[in-house]
Amino acid sequence: MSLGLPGHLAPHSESRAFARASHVISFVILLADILIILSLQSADTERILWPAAVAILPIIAVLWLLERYRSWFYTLTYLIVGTASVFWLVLAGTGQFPEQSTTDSLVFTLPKIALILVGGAGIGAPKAIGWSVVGYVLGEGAALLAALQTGATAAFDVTAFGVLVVSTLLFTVIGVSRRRVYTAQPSLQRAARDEHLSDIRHRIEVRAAAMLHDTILNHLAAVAASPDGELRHDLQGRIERDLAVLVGEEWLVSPDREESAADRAGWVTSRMFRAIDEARELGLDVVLSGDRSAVLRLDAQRQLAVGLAVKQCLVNVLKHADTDHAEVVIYGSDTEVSVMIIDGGKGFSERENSVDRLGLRQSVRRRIETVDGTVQVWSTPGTGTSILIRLPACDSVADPEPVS
Amino acid sequence: MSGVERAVQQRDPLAAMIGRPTSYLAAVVVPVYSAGSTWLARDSIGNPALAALALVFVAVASATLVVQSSPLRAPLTARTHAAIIVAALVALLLSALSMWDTDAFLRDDWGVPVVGLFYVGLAPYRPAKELVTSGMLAAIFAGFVAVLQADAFVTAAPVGVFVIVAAMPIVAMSLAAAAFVDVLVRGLDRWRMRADRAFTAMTGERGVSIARSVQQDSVTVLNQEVVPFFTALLDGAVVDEATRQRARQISDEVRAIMVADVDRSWLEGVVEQAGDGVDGRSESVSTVVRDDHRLAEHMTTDERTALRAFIVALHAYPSFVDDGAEIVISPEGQRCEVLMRARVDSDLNVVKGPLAPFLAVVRVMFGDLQVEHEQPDLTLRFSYEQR
Repeated sequence: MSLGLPGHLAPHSESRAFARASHVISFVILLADILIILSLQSADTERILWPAAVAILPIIAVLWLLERYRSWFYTLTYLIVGTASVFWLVLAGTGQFPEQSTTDSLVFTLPKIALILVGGAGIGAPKAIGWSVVGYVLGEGAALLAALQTGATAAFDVTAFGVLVVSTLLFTVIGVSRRRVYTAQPSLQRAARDEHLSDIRHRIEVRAAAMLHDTILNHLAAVAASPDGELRHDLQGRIERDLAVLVGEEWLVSPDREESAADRAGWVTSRMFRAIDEARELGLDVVLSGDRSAVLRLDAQRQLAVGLAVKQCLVNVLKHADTDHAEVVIYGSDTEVSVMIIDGGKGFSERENSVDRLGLRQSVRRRIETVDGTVQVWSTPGTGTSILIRLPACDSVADPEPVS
Repeated sequence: MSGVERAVQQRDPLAAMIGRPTSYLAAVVVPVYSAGSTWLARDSIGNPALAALALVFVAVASATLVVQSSPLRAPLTARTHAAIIVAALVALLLSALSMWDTDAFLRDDWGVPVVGLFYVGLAPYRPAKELVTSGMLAAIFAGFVAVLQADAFVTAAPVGVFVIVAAMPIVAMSLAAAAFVDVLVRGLDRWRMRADRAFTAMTGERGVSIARSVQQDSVTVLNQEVVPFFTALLDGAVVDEATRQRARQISDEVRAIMVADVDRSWLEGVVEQAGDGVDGRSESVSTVVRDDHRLAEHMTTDERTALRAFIVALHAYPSFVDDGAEIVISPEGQRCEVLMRARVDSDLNVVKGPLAPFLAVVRVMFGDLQVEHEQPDLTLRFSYEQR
């Protein structure tokens, strides 16, 4: 979710951003002012200009505090100290050039701009504009008072006034714009939440569909293929067990609780082992090879998913491949576990296989994809089928037990 | 959406829309200021043609900023940023050349503040680092021009002072623009972390209730046919041809329900939900989704969120005509092309009206969004990668 700040946080964030931008401008121009004064001093040793540069240091110090702690106290302190600094600067500067000085000289204008761009406490355009006006009035007032002391010419400072006008326009326009645009923000946040909930529901529905497919549809298929007479005892047992779980227990709420303990206890009790064992019971000759303990490097949810997916693949071999022989190969690296199910049956085309598309798509592909795995199917009619399931391994799994 | 930069426009499209008026402001204030200053300095201008050409470059930079910062052209690229700043620097140079030996006061020149103001106008659209780098280079250029002009200035000051005066506005405003972007983007990063944590918590809390709801739906389906059938079998009923037939029939029914559920995409869920939520309409609104290849599943979460928000806003829009709306998704090479048609019977400009913020977000997520509104037909076209 990267669709911006919610409406209640955005004004705070924007206000901080404007204040930071104002403080950066103030810092740069005050620093530049000091450099200008020192440069002039270095070129003119007859006059004493450096006290004017010293006058700027207090305002820089309070600016740093204001940037760190943007509160009413530090805003007022900044304005007071800044006013005193402007007064001192104009006094020291015009005192050295009594006949040439005017109060709109660039050296005096820069700290006045720093006062206008106070970036004070509070949120919203009216407060920001209010602080700027106060800063402007105090800066001009201090310059005027100092000029009266030294007899310098008091001039209307076009640059300072221009900065006030532009900053006021900026805050006003943005304040109006915010009201229009942010009416959409709650809808966006709601959409993000709905999308998240929709994703959660989708994953759960996939799990539910896969589970129903593995149990109910397989049992119905088994019943449909049963001979006349009483139902096979083992099939009765499986139907009874699955029905009790599906109707009587919360099988979707925490599907991996019991599986986790069982699977981590070792290969023999793992879901993969049970899947292969059940397929063998159904009459499929399953050859198992590779590193069986690699399965134990999967977390509980992925062990469950791959176990159920392998079972579905083996059931598909029995039902559709016209062969009673399949091979399961397990291999793993530090980061990944792969399981390949291979049969030499009649093969199929996944796209065309609409009749039983639910099994491969739902119980294998989507089930694996919901736990961040991938499924690749290679099958051509007449040449058999290979299904490769790849899953990311988990670092924090218990030490694998020896292969039984 | 790939390669998202740390720019406000790409991370928070609505915040960039709020900042859009600064582009208009820059586009109005900058030409007026430069033209006014040129007029006031007319006695110092030795070459009026160069002065006029400088104003033309300012106008070009302003027009480029206004046009390219449109939410429906997002994102404003580094190339556009470079074009605007280069045009402003050329204007600065031409203005300086027009008064090469006659310019009395550097502080009265409009070239440097204009370049700085363009950085303020660009702030919502480009990353902080880029603004800083560009600003420093522009400041060096402005300082260099001031050094070449220094002999003409009447102010008795060392050359270093002219360099500082020339570079300072650009340094100040470009750093300020970068600081502004940095604060907003860092705020977004922090919010995203908080939101992710909140979503993770919600997954746990809501996951249980959703799981129960889904399970209840499944149990309801099972209780209709499956449970009575299996219960009878477990109670000792024998298998015969009728039983086998019934098993196949129930299997087909359950399978049909599951296929219908599985085939229903998130997008169909969204239009259904949005249609149901339309106020004051007696029947639910049906926007048709044509997605034969199930390509809606390839959208990222952010893309889905943006589209979901737009669809909901469109359906809630009073002038939305609840008839004939459709969304068609078709493959085009490695991309999925979306065509969305709806009827919006409004004299207002939909693109700039209440739907504008949602369109801005969709544009940021799908970089090639095209919108046409020829009343009453509203057409959106965009595409995304197949993942």
